[in-house]
Amino acid sequence: MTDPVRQQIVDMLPRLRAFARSLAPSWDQADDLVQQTVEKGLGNLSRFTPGTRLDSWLFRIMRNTWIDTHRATRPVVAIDDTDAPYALIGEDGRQVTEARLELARVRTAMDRLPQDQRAVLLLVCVEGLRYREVAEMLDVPLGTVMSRLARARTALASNLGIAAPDTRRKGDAR
Amino acid sequence: MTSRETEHVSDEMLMALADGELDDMQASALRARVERDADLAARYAIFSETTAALRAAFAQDEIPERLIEAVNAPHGQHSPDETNVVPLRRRILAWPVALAAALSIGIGLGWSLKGGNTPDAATSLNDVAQLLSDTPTGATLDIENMGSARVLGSFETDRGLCRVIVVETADTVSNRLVACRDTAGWTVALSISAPTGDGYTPASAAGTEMIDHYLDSIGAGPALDPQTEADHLQ
Repeated sequence: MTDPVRQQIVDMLPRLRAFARSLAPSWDQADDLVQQTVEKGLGNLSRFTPGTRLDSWLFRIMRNTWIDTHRATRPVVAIDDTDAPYALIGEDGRQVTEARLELARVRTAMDRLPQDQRAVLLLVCVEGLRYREVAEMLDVPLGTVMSRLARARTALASNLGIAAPDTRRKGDAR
Repeated sequence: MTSRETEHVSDEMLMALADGELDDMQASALRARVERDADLAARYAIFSETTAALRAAFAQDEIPERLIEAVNAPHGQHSPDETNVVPLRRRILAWPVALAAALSIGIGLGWSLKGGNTPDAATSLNDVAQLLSDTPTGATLDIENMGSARVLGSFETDRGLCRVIVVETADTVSNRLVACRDTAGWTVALSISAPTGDGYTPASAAGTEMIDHYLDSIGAGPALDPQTEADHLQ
C-alpha cells in the first residue's frame, strides 16, 4: 500500500501547498502545515476510505490541523487582518509600480478575502485546476466553486484597481 | 442580431471564458462579442487580469525537499494518533447527564469528569458551554476544579448558534465539544475526548474530523467573524 499512495501524495504536493497557502499567511507556514498533514495522513492511512479522493481527505486533515494549531490561539479573522503588509505598502500603494510591491499588494488583497474564496482562487487561478475537479476536492457543488471564484475576483479586482464598468447602467443588464 | 448577440452575459460566463472552461463553440462566440463590446471587455478583464496577478503573486517555488522526504519517510516513523473509539456504552456510564440530550462519542480515554482527579463532578459540559456564553472565539476561561475552556469558533447552523469548545482538564484530557444554543440555553451536541501529551499536541485528526462532519451535518456555515459572533452572543 505504500508506494502508489506515496507517489500520489508527491504528485498532489502542489495542490496541497496551494490549499495550505489559502489557510496560512505565508509559504513557510503553509509548508509546515503540508508537512504536518502528510505525516498525519500517512500515520492514519488505515482510516482513509479507498475509492474516495485522497486529496479531499488530506485537505480535511489539513484544515483541521490548521484550525487546531492556529484558530485556537486567536480570533478567526486575525489571520486575514495582519497589519504588517499594509504598513509595508503604505498609503501610496496604488501608485507604486515596482514589481515587488505590486506582488505584495496582490497578496495583501488576497489575504483580506475569506478563506474559502482564497482556496478556490489558489486552486483554479494559480494551480490551473478545473472547476469540476476543485468542486470534488473541496466537496462542494460546482456552482458554489463558481460563485466563490466570481465573487473573490470581483473583490480582488476592485481592491487592486482593475476597472469594473457599472454594469447596472446597461439597458440589457438583468 | 441573434438573441445570442444581445443576451445578458453573466459574470460566471465571462469567468468561465477566462478560465478556459467553455467549450470551443461557446468560447469563440463569446470571445467575438467581448472583442466588439467595451463593457464586456472590461468585465472580462476582471477575470483575466486577476488570474495573471494571482499567478505572479502566488507562483510556487520548487517543492521543498523536506516535503518530499516527509512523504517518503519510512512507515511507522510518525506515530498515529493515540485515539481509538470506545463504545458509546462506556461514555454513558461515565457521564450520563449530558447524554440524555446529546449525541456523544468518546475517543481515547473517555470523559473523566467523574474520575478521582476532578473533585467537583457537578460541573457538566453544558455548564461549561453556558459559562462561555459571553466569551469570544480565541479566549480562554479557567474553570475551577476543572481546567481551562477555550472557544475555537462559532457557527450558524440548522440548530441555531453552535460553538466548538475545547476543555483541557487537570488530568490532561482534552475534550472538544460542539455546543448549540436553544431557548433553554446551551446544550452539548457532541463531545470528543482524547489524551494530550506533554505540552502542545494537536488534537487527533479523527476527533477534529468528527467535529467537522458533525458541523457539516447540521449545515454549519463558515466560522463567524468576531463582530458577527458578538452580535449573535448578545
